[in-house]
Amino acid sequence: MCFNIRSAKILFLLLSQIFFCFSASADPKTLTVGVGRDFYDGTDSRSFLHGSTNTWEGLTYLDKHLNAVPCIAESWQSTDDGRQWTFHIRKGVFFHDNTPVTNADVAASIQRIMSYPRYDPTGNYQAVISVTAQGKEEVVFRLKAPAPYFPKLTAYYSSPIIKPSCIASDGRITQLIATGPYKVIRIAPGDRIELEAFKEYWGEKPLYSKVIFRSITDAQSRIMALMAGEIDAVADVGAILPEQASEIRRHPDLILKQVQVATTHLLIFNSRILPFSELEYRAWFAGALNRSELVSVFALCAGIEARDPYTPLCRDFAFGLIRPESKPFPGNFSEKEVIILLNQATLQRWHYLEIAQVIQEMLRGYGIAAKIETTEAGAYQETLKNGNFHIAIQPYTLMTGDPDFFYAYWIASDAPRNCGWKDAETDMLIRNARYEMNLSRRKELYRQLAEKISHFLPLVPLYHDVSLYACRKTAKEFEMDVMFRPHLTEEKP
Amino acid sequence: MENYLKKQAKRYFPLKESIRLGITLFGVSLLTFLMLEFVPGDAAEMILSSHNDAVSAEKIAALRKELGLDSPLPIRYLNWLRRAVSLDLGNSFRTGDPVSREILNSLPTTLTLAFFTFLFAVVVSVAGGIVSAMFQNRLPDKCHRLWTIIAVSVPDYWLGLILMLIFSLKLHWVPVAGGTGFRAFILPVLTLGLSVSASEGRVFRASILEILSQDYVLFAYSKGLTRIKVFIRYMFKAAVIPMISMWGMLLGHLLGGAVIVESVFSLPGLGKLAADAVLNRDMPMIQGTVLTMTFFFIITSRIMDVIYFMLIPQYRKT
Repeated sequence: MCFNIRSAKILFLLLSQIFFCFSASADPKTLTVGVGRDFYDGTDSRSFLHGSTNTWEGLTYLDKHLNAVPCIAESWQSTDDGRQWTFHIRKGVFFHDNTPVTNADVAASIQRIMSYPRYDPTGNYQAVISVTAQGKEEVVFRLKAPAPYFPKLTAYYSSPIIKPSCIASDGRITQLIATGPYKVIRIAPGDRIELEAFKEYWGEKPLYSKVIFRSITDAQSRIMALMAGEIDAVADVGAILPEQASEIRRHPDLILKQVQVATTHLLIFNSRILPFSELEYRAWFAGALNRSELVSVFALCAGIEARDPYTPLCRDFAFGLIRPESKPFPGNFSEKEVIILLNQATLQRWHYLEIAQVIQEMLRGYGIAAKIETTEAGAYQETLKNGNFHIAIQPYTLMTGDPDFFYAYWIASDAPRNCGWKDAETDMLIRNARYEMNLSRRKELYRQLAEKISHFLPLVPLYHDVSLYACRKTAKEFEMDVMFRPHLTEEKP
Repeated sequence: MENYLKKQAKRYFPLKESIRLGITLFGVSLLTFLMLEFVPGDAAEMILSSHNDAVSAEKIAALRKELGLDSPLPIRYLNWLRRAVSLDLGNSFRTGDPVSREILNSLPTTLTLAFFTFLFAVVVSVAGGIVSAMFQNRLPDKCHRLWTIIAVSVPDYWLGLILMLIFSLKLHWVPVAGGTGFRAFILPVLTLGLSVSASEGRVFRASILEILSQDYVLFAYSKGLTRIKVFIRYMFKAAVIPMISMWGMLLGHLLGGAVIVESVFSLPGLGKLAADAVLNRDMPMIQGTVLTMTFFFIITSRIMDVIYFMLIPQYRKT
């Protein structure tokens, strides 16, 4: 009997070694990154692959203070009236097929982005009249109106430079030949993207000989894959949930890192209908809501209480003026029930449901019933438009790094997400700030706008997002920047 | 005359079945199209805001036009149907890639997962059902019943994570997520198969117990045949027959993809493709995946009909 058990044990171990033994790649120059979504964007997209893959680059990029910094464009200048911008293309930049990048290639890529609505969703180029290659290394943009922040509008996703021969007549990208530090080896949609270092890359050399991005949609599975050593890092927006942080910190082989990103979580009042069409109710609510407590309880280490309506990373235009004071309850609350609207798609990443429940309890304390309505993304957008809600919570990323992007989207009377609060003076300030070429005068205009927001409170910023990411100690040099992009070269973010 | 009618029926059987299949697919496609139409939200806006972009109203309108979403519903449906008849399911709104290609790419994963899960479920449910029925109300039966209740009650998501924790994280036997080769399918098959085999096992047990009380079985025992002989000669086939339609349904269901298991184990199958399409309001992809699932379901049920036809003489006569 004893022999049988021992034999069975040995047999079992042998079988397990033969059939099941699993270990991650031991190649130190290969980095495997787990991300929560598919980085393959498709042929009919701006850039074929997500920017985080480091396979393509734009004309400019945004630094940690969301200022435009050189990328494919080495430098730029504008005419005094801000209606013409000339970008000087860097010398020695090569496509992945080792052909040099010319200013005509750059102009062709920008023209592609401008020509199709899908590739310029935010309308960054709507003021552009023409883009042309000039001389040997210049690309010239002519604009309808002054754009003091134009280099920011051309950053990153707004201007992926793709080899023109890879662009079909209908704007689709047939294959990705671009300029990034890594080039594509294999794409398995929904599963993985395999890349290898591009030796002719113009910038700092790639850190790894091979990089694999694996799509692991489930947050728990991602962490387990990291713990098991199947992947070396977990990155991207919302890749690690705040409640997973302590588990990672305790693990001896893992390092938890964080970076403040350009996302701010906003509480939006529906100012079209009572009660929040009245300033006194908005002011009371904003003062009654303990935002610092919300951040410390729900965002854990992944948030900073917001004093600006957009990210303070944009430090030239961050004034820290939103500090609502507590005010007495105005009474005469006419609405039977307050509807708190949430987007289902955001609940997995952020604790909006818990925040909404706190708000529900807070309102109950004042004798006001509140209902939380969770809808899928399409219905959420529809409800925001038709106004069947009182309060909504959603993230907002200042993609261009310029405050005009925020004001033109949320605050201006004709803004696509204006929720009912309209003010002619504010509209004028927004217009003036948008076209003001003098930086100090522009700052002053945005300070005045921030004062308006802090006084009228059409929305309340809850907290600025701090994105968590993690890596194994063997990949401790792994970093992510403010645009969620992993840095895979020797250059530090 | 009777022979002539039988021959004619045989000759026209494939044609009749094809027409039936076509009508079903048409009905499903029309229903899906209508349902998508009444879901709130704008597909163009969702595509443009896929990167958390603050999209402009002009761009949304322009994309709606480009995708043909501004045309009336009947025109859009007829355009889609015209292409679908020639097996062109259109391009994905999200990626711009042909829907049929994306579905074909996801099929190997789904077929592998479905095949092995089906095999696992059939073997385990048959074995469990037999043991449980033959030892009715004794310890093996009680254990099996308890096991089936537990297996059916445990959610797939939780079970998947627990199996992952034990076999991937602690023992390092199988990969946590994704991976290549058969090893990548071991945990997904177990996760999906355990609950399925438990419920099927209970039905199989009930089927055997019903047959145990039949006169011909009692007669066989009275002739002095052993339990095993009686089971193999008289009971097994009779007990399996009612299971065939259930297995057909199970296979059809599995071929439609398993959203939760595919998501937990990062398997790029049909279920995940369909779920992503729904989340992204990718209409052509939703249509394509729903049609594929329907097709598999109908085909498996027809295959089961054929098996019935072969196994049961009475069925053949009717």
